[in-house]
Amino acid sequence: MKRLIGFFLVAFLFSDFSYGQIVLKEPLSSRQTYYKIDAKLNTVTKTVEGEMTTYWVNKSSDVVPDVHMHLYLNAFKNSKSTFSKEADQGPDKKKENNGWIDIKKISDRNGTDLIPSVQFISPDDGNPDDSTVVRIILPEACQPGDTAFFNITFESKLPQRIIRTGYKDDFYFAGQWFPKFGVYEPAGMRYATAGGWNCHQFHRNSEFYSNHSVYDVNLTVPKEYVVGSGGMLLKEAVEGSEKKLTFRAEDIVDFAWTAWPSYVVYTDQWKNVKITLLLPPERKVQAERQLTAVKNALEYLEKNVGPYPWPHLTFVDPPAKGGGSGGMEYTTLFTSASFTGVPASLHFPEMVTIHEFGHAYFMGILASNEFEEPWLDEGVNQFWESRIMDHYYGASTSMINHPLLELSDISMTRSSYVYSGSRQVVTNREYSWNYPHGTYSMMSYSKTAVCLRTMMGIIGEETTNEIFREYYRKWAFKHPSGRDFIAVVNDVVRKAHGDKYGPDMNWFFDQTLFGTGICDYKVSEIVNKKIRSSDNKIDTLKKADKTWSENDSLYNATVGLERLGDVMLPVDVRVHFKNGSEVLENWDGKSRFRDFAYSGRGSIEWVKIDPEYKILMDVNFINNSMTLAPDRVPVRRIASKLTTILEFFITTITF
Amino acid sequence: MKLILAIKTGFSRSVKSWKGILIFWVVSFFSVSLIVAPLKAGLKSSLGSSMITEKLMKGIDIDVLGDLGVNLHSMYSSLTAGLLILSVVAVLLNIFITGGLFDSVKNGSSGFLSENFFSASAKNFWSYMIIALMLYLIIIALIIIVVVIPVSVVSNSDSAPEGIVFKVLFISVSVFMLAMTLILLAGDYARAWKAVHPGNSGFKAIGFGFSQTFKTFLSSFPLMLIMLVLQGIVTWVMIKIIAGIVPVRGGGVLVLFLISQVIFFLKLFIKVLRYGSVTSLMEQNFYKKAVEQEPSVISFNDAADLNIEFKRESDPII
Repeated sequence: MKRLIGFFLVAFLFSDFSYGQIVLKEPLSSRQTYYKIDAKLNTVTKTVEGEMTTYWVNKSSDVVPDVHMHLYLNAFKNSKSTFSKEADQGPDKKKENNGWIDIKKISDRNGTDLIPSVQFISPDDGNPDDSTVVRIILPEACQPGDTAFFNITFESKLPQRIIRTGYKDDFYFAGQWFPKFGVYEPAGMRYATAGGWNCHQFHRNSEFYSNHSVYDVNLTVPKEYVVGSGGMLLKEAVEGSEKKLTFRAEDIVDFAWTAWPSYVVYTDQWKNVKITLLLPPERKVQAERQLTAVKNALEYLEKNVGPYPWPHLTFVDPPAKGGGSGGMEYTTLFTSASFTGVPASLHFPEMVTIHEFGHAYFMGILASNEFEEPWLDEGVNQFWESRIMDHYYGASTSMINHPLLELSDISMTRSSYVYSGSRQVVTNREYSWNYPHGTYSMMSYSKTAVCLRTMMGIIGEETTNEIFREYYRKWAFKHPSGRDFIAVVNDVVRKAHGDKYGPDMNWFFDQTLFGTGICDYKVSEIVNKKIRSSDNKIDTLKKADKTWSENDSLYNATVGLERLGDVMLPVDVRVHFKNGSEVLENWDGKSRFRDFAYSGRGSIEWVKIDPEYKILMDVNFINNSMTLAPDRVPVRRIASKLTTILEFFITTITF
Repeated sequence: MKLILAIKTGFSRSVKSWKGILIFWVVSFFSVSLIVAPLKAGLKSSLGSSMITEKLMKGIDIDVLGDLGVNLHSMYSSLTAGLLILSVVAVLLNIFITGGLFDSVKNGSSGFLSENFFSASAKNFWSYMIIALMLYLIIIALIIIVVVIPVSVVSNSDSAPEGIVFKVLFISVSVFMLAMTLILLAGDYARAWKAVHPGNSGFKAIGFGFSQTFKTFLSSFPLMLIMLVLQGIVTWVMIKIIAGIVPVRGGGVLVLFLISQVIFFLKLFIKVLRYGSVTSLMEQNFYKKAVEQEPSVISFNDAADLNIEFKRESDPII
């Protein structure tokens, strides 16, 4: 009876918070997890002491005997953690500079001490020295529909060397700082064959996978500190030398915060979204750039993907000493990266801001598993980053807009893929930590973005946008897998284009994203053969063409095309004749070679495969075209300018 | 007044030495061409009959660079190796040519004579080499002490305040530039002195250069500053032209090339103007010293070396 009363009491208390709506009008997710945390930052010991009340609801039809939780900060505990090994770096020489998280107490709803049933596990690599995942065996298995409650007292020591999370002097960035549930995936979810916890260890090249949750966080810090978080600030009370801040966040996948006395705070509004920007005082001049960038991203993603549902958004441009926390995403809180005095012609801060904000959609709202399918998170987001950047900052100048050099975001992304010597060693089916030879970034970010751009080149921009709108409608606040995304692609393409691209688009993804082949089409030859006047063909053609004059010549003109790579994609081929006429051919790109032959008055002057550069996966644009009259002016110009530059160089180094 | 006179004298002597400047330009152009010509040929053959050049119409294109693949690697390697060789060759040729140029801008030089120019170049080569090497050593030490060390210390300091690296870099580079002005001045004085004292060693010339720099600081420093500003303006104009003008036709490229070479010639002219002006200033100071001191203090040998005729103070210097 006592247990029953206790259960109802706790359920009542939690129902007030987790199901009540403070930030949003209605719940956006199924809210399987909830966290109420009272935390205090100790600026002397560099620790966060926390009391957490949390629960996980078993929404599956499985009987679940245990719960898995992440203890991310233990990655920074020693040099033997999986993270440290993968990063090829040991912890700081001073032990007190390391990071760790310690569960001091853990009990269930009945107050049963669960410490004896806590065990560290290493599901990914079996590393006995890794303690970033913990398994808690429940006193009673969690039945379908049951809720597992926990009261946890923990202490988190932030590492001094900031890698996403940590501190430096008086700067703090607390990410992955509290014990956090893994995701329980019943059979069928994300095509899992059996139910089980998806709770990976902390790896160097992976980030996170979480349920959408409600967070009620009370944070106590010294009163001079300026704090930013992923929650909405509900209350701030100064008590002596400290201040207590009460935050609430709904339906986000992670809660992070930062504290630094020197932050300058800027606020802005976009529609109903209150935007807060925290940045170092030396970078005040960049505030407008940063705010414009985030508003651009909001506008573009809302138009082409779906609405940004939260009424708040905080982003941080960390100071130089906190640079390791830059470029991270926690849905309603993200970090940009910049430096003091960054010139206006360099759009690096805007790029980082737009990229990290984009994660609010690709991982925040569409909560895919970044451990297992990094391309679905980073790559898709990179695709949108490049589109937003190129749209707002110029198709050829979105990254660098300087008289001496122009560079677009997508060109930078493509060159990272094209220029990589390891672009064929692995497919995008790998888990994030399994990418060999430093290919994680190129494969997850660049190749995926280039693949999606290529897909957009084939099926069109509007169909691509519709794919993402449908993906949002169908999977927002759920956990889509790559197969779910491709299924959406198939549905939308079929609806928009019928069977034009076959029964589905799997052929595209199998070759590009999940294949190791490259795409490379080449114009191998142009042959113009003049037909002699004795040939009967002339008479036939003369009769057929009334505009024929005696001075005209007749040609058998042929274009020879080749497919050098394994990837087969449909391509346009534009053939231009000397008499000014043009023909646009469509080649399915499947055969190893293909000739197009023409008979008539025109001799071929030039040929271009993919004349609009839509197939960005083609690793060599140079051999995509051929002309009988190559333009040498650009080469001469480059040589002329280089001559002058070198002349000035030698007069400068001599005196 | 002394300054204006020095520049005026330097100008007229530089104009008279235009053939020397022409030699300077020809040598520079052909040295650079040794690197640029193969690069141009390599780029031309890599692009073949492609129409990708349309992407190069606005300048360098990262897509084209990436697609050059292995060819880019080899071009990059040849450029970096070529730059190293070019730097060494440029220093040696500069040492050789400045020997002739300083000789042709000194007082009493009877205009530009090829035989005198090359004879002086050869005669002064080793001592000018010593001067150049010593000054390069000083410059390297200065870069390390004034720029590299402070910037490294600050940039590797975790607790350095935000933006301090740029501030330190700015201050370090400013200090270095000021010091460079003095080093250039000392180098010019040393070479000018050596041109009129062919019998003395390069080390002695360096000593003279530094002593003269500091003794005549008030007149020398502004002169060098003016010369460097002029050179800076020319370089700035060149950067603007290179960055801003993107000809799309062959004729345009030719015009750009000619304009660039004219401006480069102008830069060389200003460099020689600097040599002439510093030489003239040195002669003025030496002459003043000669007339202020007892005639017995300045030997006739020194006067002959400097090509100075003892005149009345009221006589014009030139």
